[in-house]
Amino acid sequence: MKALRRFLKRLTSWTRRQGDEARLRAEIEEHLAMQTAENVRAGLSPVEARRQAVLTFGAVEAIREEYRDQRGLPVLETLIQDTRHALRRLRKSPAFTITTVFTLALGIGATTSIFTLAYAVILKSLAVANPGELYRLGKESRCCYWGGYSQEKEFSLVFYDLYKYFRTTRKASRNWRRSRQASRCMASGAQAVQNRPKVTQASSYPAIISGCSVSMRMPGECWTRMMIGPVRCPSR
Amino acid sequence: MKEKRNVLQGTLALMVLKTLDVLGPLHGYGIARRIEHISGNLLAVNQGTLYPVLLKLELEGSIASAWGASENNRKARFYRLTRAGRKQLQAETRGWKQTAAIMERFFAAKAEDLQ
Repeated sequence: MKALRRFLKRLTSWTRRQGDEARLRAEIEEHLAMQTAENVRAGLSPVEARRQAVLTFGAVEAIREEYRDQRGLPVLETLIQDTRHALRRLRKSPAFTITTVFTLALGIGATTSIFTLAYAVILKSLAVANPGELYRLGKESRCCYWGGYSQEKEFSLVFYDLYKYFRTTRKASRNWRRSRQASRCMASGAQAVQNRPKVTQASSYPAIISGCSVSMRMPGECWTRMMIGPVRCPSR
Repeated sequence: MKEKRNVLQGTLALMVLKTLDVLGPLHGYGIARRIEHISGNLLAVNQGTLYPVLLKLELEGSIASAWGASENNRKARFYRLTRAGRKQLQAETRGWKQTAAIMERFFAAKAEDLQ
């Protein structure tokens, strides 16, 4: 509470620093006058009385400095002073200033534009509820992005045939989630046959279907979900 | 060095409050003289140190000040204790008395008491 009050006071006193300086000067003057008068009464000559008064008062500059520390916002004032000084120096050497400003502008511009791009492509969520559940589907074993590189063999988007297949075999689409398990069968052929879900046997669709997470938020995501699975395992 | 000064400032502030409490509104010089009288020569070195302390107390709201006329009709800034200052004085007096009592007991302790 006390600290808050002091801060507020400091804030207000900052605006009327001139008045405060004048006040301190007047107070010191007053103090010295009274001390001098006292000393004169004690029998000193006026000059000596004044000298003694100044001596007992102490170093005026140091006290003024300490007084200033109490009042206003010294940190802010120093900051403003430093800024002013810096600006003055910059104005004095325009070549340096221009070079610096240009370099900074270029650097900041490049960084911003690259980040904007990266943000749009990598970081920003797609405008759907669960971007992580979006997949690209196709019939190649490896999809669109592999280890960050685009595959030459372009992974096709859902093509109409596939869509038709899913629509007709609703059973298959119901088991679509389960078929994620079957993705492992792509990796090792022998196991694949054992793990093969029943639905895949029933399907007449010949192709391997793999999927890849569309959102590239987590690089690993694409890898783990890369192959949602073959609807039908290859009978190698 | 700095710590020592802070301690001095702390005690000085308390002395100022007490002086104003006892004597009522007073100008800086008056306070300085009073404290000098009572405390021997703590302030004899630097009377001016008082003014930053006065400002600090004023900013904290413990004292208030206004221009007025001194005994010999000079313009002088008079300081008076506020209600918050009185409360602060009471609290700090209590604290100091406790500290002093504790220190007193420590200084009075002899070897056989501590065994």
